Amino acid sequence: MTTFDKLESHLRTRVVDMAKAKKEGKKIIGYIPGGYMPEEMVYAAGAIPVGLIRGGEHVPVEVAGAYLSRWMDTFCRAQIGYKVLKEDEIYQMIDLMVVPVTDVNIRSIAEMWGCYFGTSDLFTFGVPHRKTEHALHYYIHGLNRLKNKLEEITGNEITETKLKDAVALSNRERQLLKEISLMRKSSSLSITGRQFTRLNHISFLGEKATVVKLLGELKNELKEGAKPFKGPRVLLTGSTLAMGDYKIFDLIEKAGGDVVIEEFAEGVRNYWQAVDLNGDLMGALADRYFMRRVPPAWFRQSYPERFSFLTGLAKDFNADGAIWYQLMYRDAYDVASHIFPDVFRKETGLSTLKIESDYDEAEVGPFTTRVETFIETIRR
Amino acid sequence: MYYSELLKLCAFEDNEIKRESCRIEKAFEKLEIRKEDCDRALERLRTYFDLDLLSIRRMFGLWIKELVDLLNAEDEGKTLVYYSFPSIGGLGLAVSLSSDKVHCVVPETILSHALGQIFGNERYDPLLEAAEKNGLPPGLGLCSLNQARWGAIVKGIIPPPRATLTSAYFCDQTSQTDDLLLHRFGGTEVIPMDNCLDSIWGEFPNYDEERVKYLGKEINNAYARLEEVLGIKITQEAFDKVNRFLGQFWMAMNNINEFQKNDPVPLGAAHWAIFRFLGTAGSARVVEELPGMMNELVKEVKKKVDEGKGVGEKGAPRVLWCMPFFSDPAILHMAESVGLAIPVQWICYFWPTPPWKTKYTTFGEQKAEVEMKVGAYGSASAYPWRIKQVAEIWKPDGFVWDYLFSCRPFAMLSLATKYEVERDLHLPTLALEVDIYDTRSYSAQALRTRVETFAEMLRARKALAA
Repeated sequence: MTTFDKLESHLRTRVVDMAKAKKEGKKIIGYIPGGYMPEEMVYAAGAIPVGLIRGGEHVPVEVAGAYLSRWMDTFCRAQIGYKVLKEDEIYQMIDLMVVPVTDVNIRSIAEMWGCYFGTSDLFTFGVPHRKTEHALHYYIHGLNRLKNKLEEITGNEITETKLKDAVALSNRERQLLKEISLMRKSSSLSITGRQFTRLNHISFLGEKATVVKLLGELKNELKEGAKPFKGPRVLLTGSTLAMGDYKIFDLIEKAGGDVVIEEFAEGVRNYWQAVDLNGDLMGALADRYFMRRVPPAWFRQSYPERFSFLTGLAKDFNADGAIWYQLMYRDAYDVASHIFPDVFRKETGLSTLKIESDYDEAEVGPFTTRVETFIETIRR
Repeated sequence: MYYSELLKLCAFEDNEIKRESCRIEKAFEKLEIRKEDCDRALERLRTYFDLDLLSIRRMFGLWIKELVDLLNAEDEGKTLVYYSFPSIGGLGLAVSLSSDKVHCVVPETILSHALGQIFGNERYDPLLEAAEKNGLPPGLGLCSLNQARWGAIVKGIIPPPRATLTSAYFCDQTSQTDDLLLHRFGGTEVIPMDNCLDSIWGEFPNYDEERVKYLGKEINNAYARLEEVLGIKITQEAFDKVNRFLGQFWMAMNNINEFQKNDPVPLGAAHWAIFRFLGTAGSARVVEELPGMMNELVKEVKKKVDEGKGVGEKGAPRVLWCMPFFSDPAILHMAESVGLAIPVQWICYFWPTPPWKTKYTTFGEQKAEVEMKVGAYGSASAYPWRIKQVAEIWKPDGFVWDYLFSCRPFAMLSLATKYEVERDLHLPTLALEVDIYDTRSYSAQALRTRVETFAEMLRARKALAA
């Protein structure tokens, strides 16, 4: 069994493991993974964090139509849909739903959850949209409230020691993901973009220590298995890349290309920065998760920092072009997608293709044509 | 002059028209307003509005003056600051009142009202189309009010401003439109006022005090930066004048709302947009001229009540309507024509809030505290809460929840509000998807069937109950 197989196998039994743990008194803390939720705090409280990152299917989006306007982002509608459908045990078993409130779309998940399902298992905290001192103060205020809530719900104190251990483990996971990701800078690839994203998604659901161990094993395996890749290399960026939403990878690979690096606001773990283990840990968490994080498009005046990061990635990973893959009605990303291609071409000389999805299977046809054409145009 | 008859209808004096003709013609030239547009405007005003109300005619005149001022400001040596909608009351006005060299307005609100309401789609839609070709495309649910501003800038009708005072405390889109501005033109000092809308559903009317501090700090810092950029001092005197103006404005609104409790309803629904948003969108001129017009309107509406005059039939089903339309009076006119009486519009009613003594000492924090207590910029669940509150006061036969589809904070609540109002008040609710700033797709004709059916249903219910 390869390490990939072990990770998938671990994921397959994860729900059963979590159900057992819940029966034994452990709390399951679900959260919307937009990169602003310090999982470490959940581990330090002795609970199990679960990123609600499922997507890619149209049925939950349709079902959500009875609760939430179609003009909200597709991923956000899908989260309400999964809760309503009751087919995914994770959405039913969570003891607390934590929503770091970022933009209005993500906020809609929390608001509709509260309106239709009640607020007894809901917790929100705000993510300001600017990196100022008082914004950081507000974010830390949110983390402190979260800390109090986690302690209340679990009955466990989040001590400095427990938090430090959790941070160390999460830092290790981020480091391993980063090291594996950086392997893709090479002209020889041992892991595809789809595989790497799958690893990333597994990290939101898997048991942390197990995932870290397996990532370590995988990293060593991958060092040996690289094969020269001569197809078009793609930077994939956008709003949300949910677990199950892999058609864009399939289309790119079918056309002969591969995603060598990706950057998304939600659904993909941000592994570039570690939490500083020295000093005040809550401050360090805030520093890493808020101040040092590359801002998503809905941040006020995010473009200089954000686009600089993206063009840097394209250069570092020797990309041949960018595909901007976003979900329908994510308004901040719509506007950003108008500006990005100009800036990207100016900085790198490379082209951008914008694709918008509503998780509809019928999109595959038109997407195929567009992706194939784009991959062909950027082929060296 | 081809525009004289229109301006006289809008209560311009002859000598005023003569004196201002250069400025007016310059503005109309930029907007491509010709004789046929003025003739059409005359027709529109006569069709949709009660022109016996001199105060309403004066208010149309005020919108035109604001439009002319906006389009001439740069050439006249004024420094332009664009505030944005939705607006915390008074923030932009305080800037205008602090220096006669600074012209701080909400251009999109002026354009949508002055162009849309008065001159109609022919002169207003080109702004939207220009925006759609320049970064704010159709079909994505992007705010058409931002499109109006952006379209006017790319068409060269209004210049890029020296600074923006951006309402980034409610939605994400206005701030993104600033990014388009910076990318295309550069040179503007963009000053967003951020907010964290992380209130949990049901928390309102309670709120986290930290939110007051955060938004308050943002407002204070925005003013400090604006002072630096413009080289002015935004004075306490200006703040006091703004607060007095807002007090007078809302007192007049309350008085008119009281008269609206009569049957038939004395003032037609389409009229409310004409004064509701003047107070937050306009310049220092509004502070001088609007209070008098509002007081005049109060007297005129009272006269209508005394004479038993009003809109529609006595006994018609009375509905609480959510929002008026910025750019098109036809929809509310249509709603009344199919037999609905609209005595109150939710956004035009002062939501009762228990008085409080503030502990905050800075202008920004005091304003932020108001917004948390009022709720619109503090909590999503405040919306159905406030709607239910107003419905319990007015006891309407039904509620028309015309939610703006391209405004994510509103669209998010499209079904939740209907759900809560019907569950808690058993009040028939029509969830009507609209665009209050752009009626190309959401026109009176398109919406008629749903509104008409709702009206019939309410009539039937009323008859059964009788």
